[in-house]
Amino acid sequence: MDCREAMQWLSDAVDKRLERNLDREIFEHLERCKNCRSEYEMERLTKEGVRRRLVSVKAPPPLVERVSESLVTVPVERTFFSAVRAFSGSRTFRWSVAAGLAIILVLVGVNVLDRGAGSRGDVLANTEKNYDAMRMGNMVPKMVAYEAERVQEYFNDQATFQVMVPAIDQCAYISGLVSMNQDVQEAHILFKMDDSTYLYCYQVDVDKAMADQTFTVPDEAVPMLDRNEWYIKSTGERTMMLWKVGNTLCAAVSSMEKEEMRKLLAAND
Amino acid sequence: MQMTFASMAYMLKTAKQAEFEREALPHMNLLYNYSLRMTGNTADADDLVQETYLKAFRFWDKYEKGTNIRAWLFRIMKNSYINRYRKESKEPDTVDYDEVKNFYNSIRDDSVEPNDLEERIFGNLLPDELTKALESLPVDFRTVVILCDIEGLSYEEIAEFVEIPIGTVRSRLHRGRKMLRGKLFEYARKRGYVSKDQR
Repeated sequence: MDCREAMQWLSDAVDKRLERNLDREIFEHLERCKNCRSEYEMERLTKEGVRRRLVSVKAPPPLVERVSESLVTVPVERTFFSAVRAFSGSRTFRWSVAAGLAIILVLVGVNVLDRGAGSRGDVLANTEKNYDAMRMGNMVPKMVAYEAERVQEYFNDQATFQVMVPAIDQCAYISGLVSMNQDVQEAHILFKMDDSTYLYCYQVDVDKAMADQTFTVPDEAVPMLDRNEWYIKSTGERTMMLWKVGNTLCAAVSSMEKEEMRKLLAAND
Repeated sequence: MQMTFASMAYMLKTAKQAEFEREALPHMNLLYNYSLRMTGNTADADDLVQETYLKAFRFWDKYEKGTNIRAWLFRIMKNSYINRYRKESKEPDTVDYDEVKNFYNSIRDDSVEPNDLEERIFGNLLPDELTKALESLPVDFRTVVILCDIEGLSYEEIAEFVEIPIGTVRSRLHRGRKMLRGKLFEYARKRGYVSKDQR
């Protein structure tokens, strides 16, 4: 074996992974050649130093928790999980406790709905209530996906009227729910934009919603909807929008900036 | 409005999630270590791990069952790392390897025990100098050194992780370790541990 070959197999020699013949040949060469021998020893020392001094560490437990928590794809308030975590114990135990609490939430959720969307009244007020209920996990989505198309498929399948899921790409996930409110079918779409920002969109068939005044919209909004204009109202930190696409009445609410929100929704107008 | 127990269970944990957790989470230590050695601090390391898992979860349908999941996760992490820190590190400052060799020979002559020799090279380093030296290596070389010398992976597995031939693994290892000791020598000289006459 010559120096060039020895250099080629040097890392294998250091890592002791050469088969017997090659191993013997390289060490015979190292015996003879001082230059290659010192290369070998230096590489071996470097490896040993790294191996001993840069030990592999374990991922910190809070990170493991955070990663596993971030895989929960449904908008449930963080405090809910924190409360569950307070029970500590094994994962399985925690999940079963969570399931138990969740059942209680279902009951609460139904109540919220009865008082929220369930009551006759202003579409905007109901939209705002639903926005809170969806974010808090009190209204449970039937569909959660990353892609708008998948949520659209769900509505195509479940809704008796035309629901339009805005194609918003830059969101963490989208959840959808079809519910009945006094024989009127409603569609709920919640976009989680980032850790603290949501965009909720409510849709209902205009004719059904307006029949018998099941729902009402602000008086000043009526002529605007007739002209296919957007009715926009900002209350404190929230912006609400009302508009019509074909025969579908749409309402949206978010803590996002008015212009940004309008842009996201209008792209699908 | 019908709310079934099934929809609640779905809310808490989908089958996909359960499967992903079972398959992918056990490899977090390896990913975290690589992430830590690449980013150099725990906050960025955490972020990179989290990003990697979210992406992996998102593309879970694309993972071919039965193939090496560690390699799959690793590749997602490496791509995320490169996207994030696009300013690819350049080759470290040129080192005169003859100088390194002379230094080595000078401390070797009066030393008998090989372990003692290691102590003389590494024992005089400041606590984070070895870490810093490793971080100064270009990504491709740093990656193989981390995977082989810290994580103890075989050449075969490294080849699969990085998607390079075994021959490239061995040459990158050889060069990577060489650059590393060049860097360590530089530190030693800066602190005056290597005296003029030793050069």
